[in-house]
Amino acid sequence: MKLDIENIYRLYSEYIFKFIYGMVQNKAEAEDLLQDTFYKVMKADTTEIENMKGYLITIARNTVYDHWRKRKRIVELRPFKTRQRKRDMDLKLDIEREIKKLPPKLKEVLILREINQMDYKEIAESLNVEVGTVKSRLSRARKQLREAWRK
Amino acid sequence: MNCELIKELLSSYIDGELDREDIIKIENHLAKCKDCRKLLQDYQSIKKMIRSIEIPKPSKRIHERIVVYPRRRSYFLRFIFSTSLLVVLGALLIPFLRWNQKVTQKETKEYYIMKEEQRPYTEVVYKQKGNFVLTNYEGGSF
Repeated sequence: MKLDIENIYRLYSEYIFKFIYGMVQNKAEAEDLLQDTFYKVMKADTTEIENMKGYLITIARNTVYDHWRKRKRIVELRPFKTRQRKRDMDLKLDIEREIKKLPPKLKEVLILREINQMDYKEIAESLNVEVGTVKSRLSRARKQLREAWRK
Repeated sequence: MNCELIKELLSSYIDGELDREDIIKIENHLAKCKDCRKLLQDYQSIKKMIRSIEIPKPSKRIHERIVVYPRRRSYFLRFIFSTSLLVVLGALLIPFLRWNQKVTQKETKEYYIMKEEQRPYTEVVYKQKGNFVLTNYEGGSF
């Protein structure tokens, strides 16, 4: 599949942005990482890529992990509007904050499943793991969120 | 199937990722197990909450940064840029501060000159053997 960067951007940028935003939960940071992701894609040879979506998710994921390694994040930024939304929707769980607390490997499967709405097979391909691993990680992620909710 | 195994599978169950055989087993178990029904409800609520998170869209300028003028983001260049900006601002600030100081000094001097001219006589406090004596005099000797 041969696509130029303009078309790749048009077709997939929002999809990839959702994933990156889900991982970092900060718009400016997610935009920077989207730019880094596309820069890597531009430099790579994408002619042989069949599953472009999965390929882009893989690159985006590596970009996010590289960024975390470089930054060694210490400061936790609270996402905007959470309190307001909490009141509005009468939710008992500050879901964004709890997702942020998840270990990266659990968080990424949860984001890919719930935000990007990928099926288990697609997630497994993008992350280069077994479907069984996706299942157990998702189950652990949900269990952890539920425990936070029940506290 | 026991509860532990069902609890493991419930996550895949709500995602519709189980085969028919497992689905039947789970639904039979759910019909008689209150705990697992509660867990299923919680998982569904959590799913709903996550899906209701508002995800912003990337700004329009990002398209420009990626497609029109693509370049690698460099932390080093950013650091250099912000540092040089600070240096330039600092360099501009120094002459301003100096000028400001000169103006202030001049004004202060003028103020004192004016004050002295306006006063017909000066109030002097003499200290004599520990007592303070307040005296007025005009020019000449006391």
